[in-house]
Amino acid sequence: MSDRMTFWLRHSILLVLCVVAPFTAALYFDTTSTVEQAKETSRRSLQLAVPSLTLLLQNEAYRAVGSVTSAAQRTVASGSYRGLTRSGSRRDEAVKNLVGLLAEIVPRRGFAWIVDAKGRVVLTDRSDGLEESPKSVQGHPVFVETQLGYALDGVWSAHDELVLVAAAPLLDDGEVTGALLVGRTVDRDTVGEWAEALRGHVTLTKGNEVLVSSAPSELAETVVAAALDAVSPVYAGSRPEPLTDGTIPFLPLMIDHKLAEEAFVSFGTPVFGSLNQLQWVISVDASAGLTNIAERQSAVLGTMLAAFLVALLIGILYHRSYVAPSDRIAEHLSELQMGRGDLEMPEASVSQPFRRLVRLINMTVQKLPNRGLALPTADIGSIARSAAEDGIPAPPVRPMPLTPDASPMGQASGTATLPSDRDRPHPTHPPAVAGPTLEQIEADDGLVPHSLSLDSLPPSPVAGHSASLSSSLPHLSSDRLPIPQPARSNGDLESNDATEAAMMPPSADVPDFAALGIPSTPGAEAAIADAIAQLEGAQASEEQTPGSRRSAAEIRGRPMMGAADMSTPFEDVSIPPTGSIPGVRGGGSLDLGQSAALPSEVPDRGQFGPEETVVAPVATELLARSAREDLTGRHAVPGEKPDATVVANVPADLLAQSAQEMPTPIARGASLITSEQMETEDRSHFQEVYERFIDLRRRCGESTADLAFDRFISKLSRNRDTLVKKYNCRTVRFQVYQKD
Amino acid sequence: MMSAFFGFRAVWAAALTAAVTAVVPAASAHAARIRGVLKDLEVEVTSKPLGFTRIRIAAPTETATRRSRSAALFLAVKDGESLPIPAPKEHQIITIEGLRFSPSIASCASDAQVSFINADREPVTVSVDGEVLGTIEPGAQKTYVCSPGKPNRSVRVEEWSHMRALIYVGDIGVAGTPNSRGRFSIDAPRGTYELRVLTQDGVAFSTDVEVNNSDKDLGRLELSKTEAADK
Repeated sequence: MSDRMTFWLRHSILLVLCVVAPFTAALYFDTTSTVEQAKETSRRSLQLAVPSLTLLLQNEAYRAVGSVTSAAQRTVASGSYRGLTRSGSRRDEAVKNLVGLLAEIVPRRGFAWIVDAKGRVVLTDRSDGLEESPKSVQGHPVFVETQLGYALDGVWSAHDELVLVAAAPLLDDGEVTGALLVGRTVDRDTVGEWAEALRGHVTLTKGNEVLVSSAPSELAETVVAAALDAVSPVYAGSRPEPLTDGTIPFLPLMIDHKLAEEAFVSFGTPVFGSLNQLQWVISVDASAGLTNIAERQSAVLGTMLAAFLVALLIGILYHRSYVAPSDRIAEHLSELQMGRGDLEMPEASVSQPFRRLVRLINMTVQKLPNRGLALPTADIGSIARSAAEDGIPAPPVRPMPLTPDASPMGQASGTATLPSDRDRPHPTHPPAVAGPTLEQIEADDGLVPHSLSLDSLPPSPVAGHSASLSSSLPHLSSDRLPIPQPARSNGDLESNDATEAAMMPPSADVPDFAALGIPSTPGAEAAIADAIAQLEGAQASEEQTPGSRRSAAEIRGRPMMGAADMSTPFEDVSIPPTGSIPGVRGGGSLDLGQSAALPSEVPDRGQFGPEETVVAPVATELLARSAREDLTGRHAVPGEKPDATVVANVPADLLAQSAQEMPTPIARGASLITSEQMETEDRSHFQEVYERFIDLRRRCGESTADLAFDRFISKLSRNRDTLVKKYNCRTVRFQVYQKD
Repeated sequence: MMSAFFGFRAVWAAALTAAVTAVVPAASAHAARIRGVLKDLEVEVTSKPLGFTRIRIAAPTETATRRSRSAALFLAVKDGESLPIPAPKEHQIITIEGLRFSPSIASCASDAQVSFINADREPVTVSVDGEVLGTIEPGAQKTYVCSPGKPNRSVRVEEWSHMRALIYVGDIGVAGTPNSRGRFSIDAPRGTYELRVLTQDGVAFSTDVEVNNSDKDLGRLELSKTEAADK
């Protein structure tokens, strides 16, 4: 399983254990506790509702009895009741008054009767006159009680209707002679009023038959069936509407949306004063406290989702910042180890914390001695062969020392092209050395003025040398680097010079710079000799040990031989035939498995790609042209303005002139000029140059209006800095001359 | 002419003798008549709360404070020592009037019948011992057959829960009902019987009665004294 998969697997487990599981548990416990709390609350509400209904009915009875008693007194006081026994108009008037009175006191749905002493209902609230065949209520207990002199309330259950009756005796001279009965039928509106007061539902039942209820019929039947024989509150019924949140339909979770069989808690109580199976069933909504549970759950789920996303984002960022870059770096190093892929890894491919590491890796890889330097040993082939047999990695490359003396011109004049290394400490300011004058160069018979025709000249030493070089130099394929040189230990420092001398190829293979007319220094000669030797060694090593790979020791630069071996003169350099040099690697090319040996013939330039970095012997023509250019001392850039400040070789006459004007070179070991003095001298020099430049332009008849001193000085300063940095010299001197 | 007169008188006497002879044997089978008076049928009406409120407004009337409680009689054959008892000529009647049964108790021999008459203006549904007898329309009647079984059988009206009645079903004997004054008269053939006086509370009085060919007057029977209670 790859590192990325492992990381995401672990992160997923972390998400589940630290985000999903806790929030799910919280959701579950919160939901169950809320439901239990709602049930408990509803149970307590029911326990209060039952006596509340009794109190409600009691208040109703008190009010009714008081009203009936008052009405009975008014009936008697008006004399209308006695008038019923009269005849004629007096009786009619009495009837009319009594009917009006009954109409006032009759409830919305009920009755109001005047009953005589024999229990006959002589008048009702709807009567037009005295009943001709009145019905009798003589045997009803309520009437019986009124005849005993009591005003009372009772229930009147008839024809599946419950009537709450209030009755009062009618007196005549203090003697009970009848009764006034007022009844209020218990209908849906009546129980609805009581249900609203109790914050629940009230159902009147007779056995298991629902007579009237404030709840829907289906709910009433369900709760009545459950509470019929119950001795304690029971849960039954479902919500008419689900508990869902309008925005998220699947919420709430973990509970039934309609709370089936648990939505209402109910309890039954007998109807007071009833002789049959009449019962009040009171139901309280158990889901009243769950109306906002969907919102609570949505909040919890939203928080969980947010936490999940944040954790996921953290994981993604962590993966992007640390796991992926380290993975890429490991992959890059693995490919380097296996000899595949690019040398350099782009810093932009990794996150910021790893870019410095990538930079260091790239720099380390760049420092590896595999850039065209061969082993400086006498017998490259034997060393490589023994190394392959013993399993010892081939010696690493020792980078070419970069010294100012390696330049043909001691003074940087813009012609040297040495590689730079940021990590290499800058050497102390080397003394400014004046280069050879033109006369000296001409005296060496090496350089030809550029005015002469090159065709008439004898073959250029460079060209000739290049020919010999081309025949003696080992050929490298485009994707191979020569074997690196072994690193030197501290003990070998004293023998560096001797080693360098020993490392130099025989004089027959080293070009005669003097004969070529190319001014050279010992350092330059050594550098060129090293390059040639390493090329030869690379080819030899490849031939001797084909197919072997360069090991890590080679890359790390371990010395593979002692000082004695190092001091062996390089007497005979046998140029190995074309073959593969093990362990070497071509820069800039992924042509794996190809031989790093130099081809026997110069490869056709047309075979190379336009962007390929190749190692090949320099063509004769190019050498000749570069020699002429060096002689002429000019590097023309196409499209360059004629007045542009250019970097070019100083002509001989100017060199001679400057040599006269230049101060005495500071010998090695003399005290260094301070930077302030340097800056002052430079500034004065820049001013002189400026004056000369202005003067020369005037003499040439050119305009000088666009030559501001500040800009000129600034430009010279920039050029100076660039050249100092490039050639690692102390300072730069400019000269003004007129071009032909 | 005198002879025709005497002949007519002879025929008339023969017919009369035959009639008497026909009656006499019947009178000999239920030869005796048991008479008596039930005392303490009038009881004081006790008031009881029916709802949440009860306030005395006035003194009760005399008629309201006392009422006559219902009673029934049953002359049960004892030890099988009697002549065959003929079938009763009339059924016991319970009237529904003024939202009450009148009388509220009736006695009945086995396989005899009790009739319910609805004298109110609204129909009622009568049930005896949980068995619905049927709805009795105003002015109609329904008959209940006293099949052998449990002696005390409750009577209810579905529309009015306060209405209660009781039917006492005896084995072999003669049923009777006192009037409003408590007087009763039961015809029984010669034999040994047990007279039971029944009220809503059960057997209020019982005594052994020996019936021979002559009528018998048991006098005043105090119901407050119970010699035997027939549960």
